[in-house]
Amino acid sequence: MSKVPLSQDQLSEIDHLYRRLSALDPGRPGEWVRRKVQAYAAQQAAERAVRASAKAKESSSSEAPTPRATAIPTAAKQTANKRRLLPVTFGAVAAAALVGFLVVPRLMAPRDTPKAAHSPAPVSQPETATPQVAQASARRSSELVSPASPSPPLQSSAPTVPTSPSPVPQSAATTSLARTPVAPRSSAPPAPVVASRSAGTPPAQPLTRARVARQNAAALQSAPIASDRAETTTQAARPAPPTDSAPAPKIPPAPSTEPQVAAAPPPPGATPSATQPAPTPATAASNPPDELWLAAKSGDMSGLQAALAGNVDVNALDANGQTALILAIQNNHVAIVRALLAHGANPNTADSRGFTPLRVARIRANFAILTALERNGRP
Amino acid sequence: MTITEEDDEALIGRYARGDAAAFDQLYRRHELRVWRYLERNVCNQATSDDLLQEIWFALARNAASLESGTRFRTRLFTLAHDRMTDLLRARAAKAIPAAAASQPAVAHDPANALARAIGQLPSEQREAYLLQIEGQLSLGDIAEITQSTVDTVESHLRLARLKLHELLNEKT
Repeated sequence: MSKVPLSQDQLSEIDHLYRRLSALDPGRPGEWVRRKVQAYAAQQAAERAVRASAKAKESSSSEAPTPRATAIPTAAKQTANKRRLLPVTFGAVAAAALVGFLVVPRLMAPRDTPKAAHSPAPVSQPETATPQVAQASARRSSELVSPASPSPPLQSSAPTVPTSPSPVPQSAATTSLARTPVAPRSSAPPAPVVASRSAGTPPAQPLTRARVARQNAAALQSAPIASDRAETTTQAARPAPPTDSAPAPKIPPAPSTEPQVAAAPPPPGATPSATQPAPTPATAASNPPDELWLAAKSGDMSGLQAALAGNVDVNALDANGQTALILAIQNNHVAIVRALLAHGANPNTADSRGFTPLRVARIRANFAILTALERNGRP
Repeated sequence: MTITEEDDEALIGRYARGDAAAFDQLYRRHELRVWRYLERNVCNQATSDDLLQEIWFALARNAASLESGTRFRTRLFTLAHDRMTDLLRARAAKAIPAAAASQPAVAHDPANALARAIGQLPSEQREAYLLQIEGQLSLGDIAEITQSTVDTVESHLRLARLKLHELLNEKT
């Protein structure tokens, strides 16, 4: 490199030389790029125009006499949905009653083993409000419990107890209960029935019976809350079996991270009452922001505000290792991004891949979001 | 210059309101500069074509958010820089041989001294210089895009010019 500093003229001469030589450069972008870009831009413009016209139509129709017009269809929809839901509700209640009649006498039978007493945990599952939540909670609890727990819902307990008088009705009962769309309050009683029965039975295994009774009481306490409480009840029921039953040593180490986290909290030798409601770091960090992540992803501002109203960790990572802020950026929800930033979301918190919100925004080329992020601080 | 920038903003605004011809005009205006910036950095015409397409697709998708805020050209080159950096990072992660990556396609032509001289610049200097000469961006914009300081950019530019002066004068 030359040691003599160049003058401004010489430096600008280099730029002239660059431009002159650059003009001679025959290199050009491919013609196909232009065609593709034009086609894509036209498509985007058309889509935008369609969206704009649809929006204009909506707004014009809502401005005109349509408050009534829009209200009527929604009301009609609601009544239609109600009509559709009525038979389902009655069916569910009838099924629950039937199950109660079938299961309760079985449970009252004197030959019942202590393992049957674990049934309250799954029985408490159907106390969910909606079928989706019930299925989701069942799925989540099975994910959480099945790898490590020796007492998952009755499907796994039935095969382990060959002497059980009625494996088929029990499993049918649990599956039908888990799928019932409406939570019948009548399904709660089996738990205390089992508890009282087990408390009153001859003292074959007094320690186990007492523990079962305590677990059932804990399950009853947590029953009204849907999925997360179901998980905690299964967790609460978990410490009991290792002391008195064989399946405990067979517990394999949980393969995924979530079950590990869920399985970690119960300390060895802790009583069920101590383990049951304990808001472990996993539940405190993951469960509340679930709505937060969903709202951030979908752009649901009311949902987001509802989620933020609780004491949630705005910077928590979801199952995919992404923060709510990054989810909102990925989906180009500018308002959500601003709201999250206003609620203390850290614009420098990277996701599990190491991408910061700023980086994602730059990749997405959303400059409104970039501006919002930059106003809230940069690394 | 300022008129052009205003025109860019107006064009992207028109496109955001559904005028596809405005976008075409914008593309034709900046196509070659962006492509040169990419090609002289990634040293591969096909890759530059792909990147160019990605960049303009992203702009078309996000035209609504481009209407206000900073200048269009700054945004365009920011996007180009980001996409190119991602690509170069991925390329480095896959350990593509440096010779294939760093040798410009046009450098096989012995007459093309410019491409070879640019290719011999250190990457930071090359990028800063190309952002200035092709993007016609200010020092602040370049510092923003490359996430460095204005002083650093100024230093890179000075060193790049010195090196180019040396290389081009001995070859032309």
